[in-house]
Amino acid sequence: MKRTAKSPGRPRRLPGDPTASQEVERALRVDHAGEYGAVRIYAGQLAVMGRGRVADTVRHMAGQEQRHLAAFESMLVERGVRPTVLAPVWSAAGFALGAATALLGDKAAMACTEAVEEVIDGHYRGQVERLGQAEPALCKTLERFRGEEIEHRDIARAEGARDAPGYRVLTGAVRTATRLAIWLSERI
Amino acid sequence: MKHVSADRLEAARDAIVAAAVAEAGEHGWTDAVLDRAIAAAGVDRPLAARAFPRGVHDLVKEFHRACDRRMVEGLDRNDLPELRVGQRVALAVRLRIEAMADANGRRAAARAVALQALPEHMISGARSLVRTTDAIWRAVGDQSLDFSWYTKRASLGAIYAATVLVWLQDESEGSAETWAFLGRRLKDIATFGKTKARAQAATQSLATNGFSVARAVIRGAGAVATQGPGAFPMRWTAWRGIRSGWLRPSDR
Repeated sequence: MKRTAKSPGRPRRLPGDPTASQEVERALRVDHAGEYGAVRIYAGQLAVMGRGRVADTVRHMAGQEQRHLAAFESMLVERGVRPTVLAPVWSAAGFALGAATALLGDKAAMACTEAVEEVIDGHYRGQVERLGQAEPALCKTLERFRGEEIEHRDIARAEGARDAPGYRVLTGAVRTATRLAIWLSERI
Repeated sequence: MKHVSADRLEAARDAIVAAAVAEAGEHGWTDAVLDRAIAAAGVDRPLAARAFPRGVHDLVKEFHRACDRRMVEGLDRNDLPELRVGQRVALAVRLRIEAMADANGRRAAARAVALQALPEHMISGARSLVRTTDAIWRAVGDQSLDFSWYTKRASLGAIYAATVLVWLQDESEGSAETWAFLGRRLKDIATFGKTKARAQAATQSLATNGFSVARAVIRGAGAVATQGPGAFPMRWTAWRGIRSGWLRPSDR
């Protein structure tokens, strides 16, 4: 039986793998959860920071995440995708992470942003690669959001994320937590 | 494997389900009934195998999906914005059950319930229930995307399943007893919701006050640490906190 692979670089789908529509549902579910988590992290940081120049920067980024979240909300409703079961966990964990890093100081808060956005950048890039042909419109949106996430990462670096106390340990922990959250939200 | 369009598969499924319902009331949802339904619907065997890869499991699943679709179509014919959410849900559950009745399928539905109570069919039965409750909530315009997505479907699932069981044994004129039962169950939920909202408001104000207290304490401790004890009039801050509404002793 002759068969032409759609994308030569990618392994073929095997029985038990998610189907194409499940793949899209997973992507939307995890993205919605991610933006929700981001909104909660910034909310936690702002609850501690209150006023000041850095707080205004955080507020600007929080506003963009809020718009991303709204976009994914309408997509989930439109396509009838269930949200992640873990939403209450992300609500509490995100807020706690934001508040904790902000309590360590403005620079630690920025290091947290840098670490999260770095992982998210890679995550969106992977999704665009996987869904590229099937969902061109969705990928365009993802690319736009990815641009803004990269911008957040760069802002965080410019604000001195690298000078945060325990920079390596802190960002390492945040990156691992973010990856774990992505892995879980795709599935449950 | 040759590609088969989704529409063709859908059409084959619909035809086979329609043919199977007539027999399933008598003989149950069995392999033999599926076999005869395929022949009666005039669908060729390979296509039928693609339409129902898991045999009877898929046949019952498609029976429920067809009824879900009929429920949504029925809702579309009604003026939903005129109704409150509770009324819409009641109408949707009623239309869903009537979709089974219309196909003269009360006995077939009873057989489906019996089948899906068996251990090896329980998971697909639960999935069918989730699909039905999801279809109902979506059709009545629910847009929740937090944990209430799950609680809404779970509570409706309990009500729907109980209502179906009542309906299966209901001998009253026009199933009047079933609709009365459904109304009572939905009223229970509404009462529960109101109590829950009150409890939630109480815990919420407790949580925000707790956070304000923590913030006041941390600020106080910070001032004491930098300026030494005595430099910080703690009592004054607490008083200011109470006046500005950080600490509201009234709504504990």
